[in-house]
Amino acid sequence: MKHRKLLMFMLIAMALIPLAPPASAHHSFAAEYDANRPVTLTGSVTKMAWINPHSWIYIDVKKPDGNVENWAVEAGPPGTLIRAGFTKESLAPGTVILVNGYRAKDGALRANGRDITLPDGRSLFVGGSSPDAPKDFPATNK
Amino acid sequence: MRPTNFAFWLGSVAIAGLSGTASTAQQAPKSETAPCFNLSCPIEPVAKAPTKSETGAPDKPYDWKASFAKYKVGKVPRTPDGKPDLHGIWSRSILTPLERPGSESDKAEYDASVRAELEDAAQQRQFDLRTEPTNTPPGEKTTDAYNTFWRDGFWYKVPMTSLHTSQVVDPPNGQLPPLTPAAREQRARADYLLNRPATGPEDRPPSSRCVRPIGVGPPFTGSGPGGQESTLQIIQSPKAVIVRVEALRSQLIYLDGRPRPPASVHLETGAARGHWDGDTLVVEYTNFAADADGTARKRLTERWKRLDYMHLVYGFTMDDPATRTKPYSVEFVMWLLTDQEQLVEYACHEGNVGLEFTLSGARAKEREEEEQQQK
Repeated sequence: MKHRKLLMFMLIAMALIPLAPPASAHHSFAAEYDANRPVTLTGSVTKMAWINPHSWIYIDVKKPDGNVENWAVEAGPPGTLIRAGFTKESLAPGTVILVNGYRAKDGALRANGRDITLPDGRSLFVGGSSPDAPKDFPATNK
Repeated sequence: MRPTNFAFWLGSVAIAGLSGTASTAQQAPKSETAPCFNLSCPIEPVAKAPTKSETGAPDKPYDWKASFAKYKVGKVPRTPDGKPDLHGIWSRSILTPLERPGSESDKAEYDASVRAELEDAAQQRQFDLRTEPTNTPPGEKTTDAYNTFWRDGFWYKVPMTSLHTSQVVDPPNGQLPPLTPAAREQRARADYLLNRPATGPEDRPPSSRCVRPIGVGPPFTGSGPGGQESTLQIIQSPKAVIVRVEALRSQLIYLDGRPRPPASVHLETGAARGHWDGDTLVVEYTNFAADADGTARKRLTERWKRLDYMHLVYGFTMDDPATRTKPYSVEFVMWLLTDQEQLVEYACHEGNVGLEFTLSGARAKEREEEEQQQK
């Protein structure tokens, strides 16, 4: 029985790889971002731009030397954010967030927001329009 | 074309073929190819030459009446004139792959007992994807997880709304008929343009330029985990039905029996005329714009049927001889978004800074390469 279950999971795993072919994206990740330059940023929100085709979150990040840099973090389209449970109140200016992402290829202070949490690990979202939306923030793979 | 670009393209073709993601390279067993959720997916690595039996008209038209009759119908809301009420914002975000995965090649339906496990596994895959770098295009470490965090299937489980192992219901093997040589060439060209460094806005795909979204109908397909603009809103009156697609466009379906436009009129999404066949809305499309081979022979027939408050079964038969060697039929179940009151405008042009940053990224990479050569 155990063996059968393992086999089934292997089949499932095979069937689901990879679920998001690059060509289905609006444009390619590699065209804009550098996977060799992951960034981790902690900063306070200065602005959230609800625009298409991608939203942008702006944060002030304090550098070790005391200087402050304003980074732009790319997020999903507004429609998708709403379905994830994101609201206008989710990211009020001044909210401190932790961003994991990849830096822009052209070296600007811009990153793709791979995932975003509050520094204490809580999620920004509450889960959205689905028959069984998860209530807890999923485990991250840091 | 610059020599470096050509080398890049050749490399792309070779490595994409090896990794099974796209392109014209040789043979990979179907079981190792990825489930894909829209009709613009990378072309299958198997160079399927159409055989004589695969070309031309189908042996017999797909039996939609029998197919829709298999669904259990619950309490269906109705409009004042007694027709099924299709109003609502519907999600195409479902777990049924467009084509049947190789691991399920011998069965048309999943066992109901695996549904929950498949939904869990699909969401776990979305979590895991974020941190898994891949190598497409070649030579560059990239990630398929582009914005996974923000997409369908990360914050909620994408539901398996039917047990079908594929959205393709005809041909019966659950596989789309082969692409025609002209369509294959067009798709390979699009893959090449997408994956090479951008030389200017003109060579970017229509989706990147906000001209035409990927995978958005008509006809529609289920979008799967990783989808983004996966909803549509239906607005209905006795004389017309409007299908508002979240990304970019709306389709007006006349039900009042008006004549079709003259044959000289070609429209990107065709001219739609609908009628009720019992409780099923049947929509026939003509007057499509020219396709891969420069002809405009595409015909599309859609069927919409509300099953209960939460579900709507949608199916279409596409006869597009310029793109596929045979007509094919797709069927899947959409679900109602109960807590979204309106669609959010998808004004893609408004903030399409991605196009600018794609170009600046390509120029930065060129500078980097030049500096390395000088060293």
